[in-house]
Amino acid sequence: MIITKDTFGYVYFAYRDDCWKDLLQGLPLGTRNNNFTRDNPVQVGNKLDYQVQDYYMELLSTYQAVARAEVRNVALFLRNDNLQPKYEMKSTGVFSGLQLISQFEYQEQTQLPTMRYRRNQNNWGVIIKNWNGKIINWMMRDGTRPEGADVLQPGFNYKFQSFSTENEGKAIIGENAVALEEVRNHQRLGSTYVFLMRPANTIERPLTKTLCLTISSQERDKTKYTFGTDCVIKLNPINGGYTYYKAVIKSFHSRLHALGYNNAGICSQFWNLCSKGLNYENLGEKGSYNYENQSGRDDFTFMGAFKIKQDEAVNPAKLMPNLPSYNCNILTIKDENYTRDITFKTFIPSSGREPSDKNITIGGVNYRYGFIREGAPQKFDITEHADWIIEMVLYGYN
Amino acid sequence: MNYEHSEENHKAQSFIYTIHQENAVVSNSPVYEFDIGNLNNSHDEYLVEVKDFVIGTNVDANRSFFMVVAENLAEDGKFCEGKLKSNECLLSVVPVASATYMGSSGTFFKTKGLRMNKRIKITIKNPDFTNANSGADIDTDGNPTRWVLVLQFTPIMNGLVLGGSGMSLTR
Repeated sequence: MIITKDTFGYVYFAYRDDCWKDLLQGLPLGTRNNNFTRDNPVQVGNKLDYQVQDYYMELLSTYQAVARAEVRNVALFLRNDNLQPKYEMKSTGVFSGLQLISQFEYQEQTQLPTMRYRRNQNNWGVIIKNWNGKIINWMMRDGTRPEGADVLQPGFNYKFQSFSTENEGKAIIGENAVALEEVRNHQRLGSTYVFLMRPANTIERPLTKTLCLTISSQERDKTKYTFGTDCVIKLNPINGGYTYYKAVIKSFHSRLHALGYNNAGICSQFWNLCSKGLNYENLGEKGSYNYENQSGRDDFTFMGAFKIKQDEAVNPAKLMPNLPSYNCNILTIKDENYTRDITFKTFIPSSGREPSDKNITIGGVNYRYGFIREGAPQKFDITEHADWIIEMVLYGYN
Repeated sequence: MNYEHSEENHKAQSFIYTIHQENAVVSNSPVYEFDIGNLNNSHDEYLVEVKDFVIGTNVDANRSFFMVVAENLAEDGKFCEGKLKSNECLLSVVPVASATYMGSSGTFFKTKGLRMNKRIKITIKNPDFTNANSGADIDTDGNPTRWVLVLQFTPIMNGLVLGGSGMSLTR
């Protein structure tokens, strides 16, 4: 991981907003398998500097809601079968038109893709071209769908594709109908991809580490406490000798508070924690097309994901242990000579919406707190006892 | 000041300093006191980087994570200023829900006063910053929770980290 003053984090929130639309129409998730079209592609390339043609790109982390109870190694590829000549992807090790960018592991029981051995230091970088400022469109390819099942092929250029590293590299797909439906039901509920990006073909001295910065939800200003995981934290001047810092979020740990929990029904297996007021660029993370388009949240920056551990019984204290997240994002912080407020907020990846403080009744089923479940609804409280802590390494520059 | 980029594992003048819970001079779980230092050389200031923190079993995994806080060790860094004292630092966060029991690494800071012995205090804390409760959060079932902390020390002289290229271990 090379950090220069031009390095930035690029985040995609790929979720299926039509899930919510169907739910609001009273349609259960399970009836929509045959209508899983690609009508909501993720567009990548917005907010890139039009003056820069080539970018280096490296996968930092990914979070996906997938329900499949098995251990399986997964290779994540960039697919460029729709490449036009002007959108050239250069790299070494191209494999049949696919560029391997990372490998990760579906962790047993948790059914969440977790970077192998908690941190993957061996991601593969690629260089993409931003041709004279034209937008590069990407689309998340659903690795669970059989080949040829696409009904819509918009004009994207790059796609992600996941393969199992077993079974001769077959795409991730259930071997039976039940498993397939499980995968589909969850896969559609949202994914988050975080990339490190920096302009390629430039000679830039890597920055050096300056300071460690940690922030915890326990520091929240309770006079400004509002709801859920929302909290306001006061950030004092950094005073590390620099005006700007690149902040690498190296770890994110959390726990939630559950008043009821049914491991058979949980769908949103991770929640995104975002902040406002910390990222100097104040544009939110670059990318995040869906958030800004549908939820108006482009001023929030992705900080990490609550990775909910599944198949975990609620203990008497009703605390829900979560899994850690590593290499969550890269921010740009501008130091100020005054104490400022940083607001943190949680979004549900399945919809890009905030957890609601109101119950939602759809087709006679009560979805409490905006938390989508397929099983019996239970209150899922993330208020008083939701604790998280973020560790950052700051790289200073002027 | 800037620290030499320390992604490489070895620096010419670096050395590894290991602290084990059983070596505490005062042990009142979850608070452990150690006398570290007595390095008896020309350097008084060091860049310290956490390489590893590993905790054993006999913990309540439902805590989700523990935090390892050191008092009187770090001279800089901004560690949860709203909850920790200015002479405290967060060494590592240990996820116990993932069953690896290995804490986060990479935290770094400057420390001083190691020519002679220096008393530091290490505390295991819950996610809400309360001390872990011996017998409930840690040291469960009457068995002590053991842990080991691995630090990398690199001397600093006149503000320069004497790290060298990190490529040669024989220099």
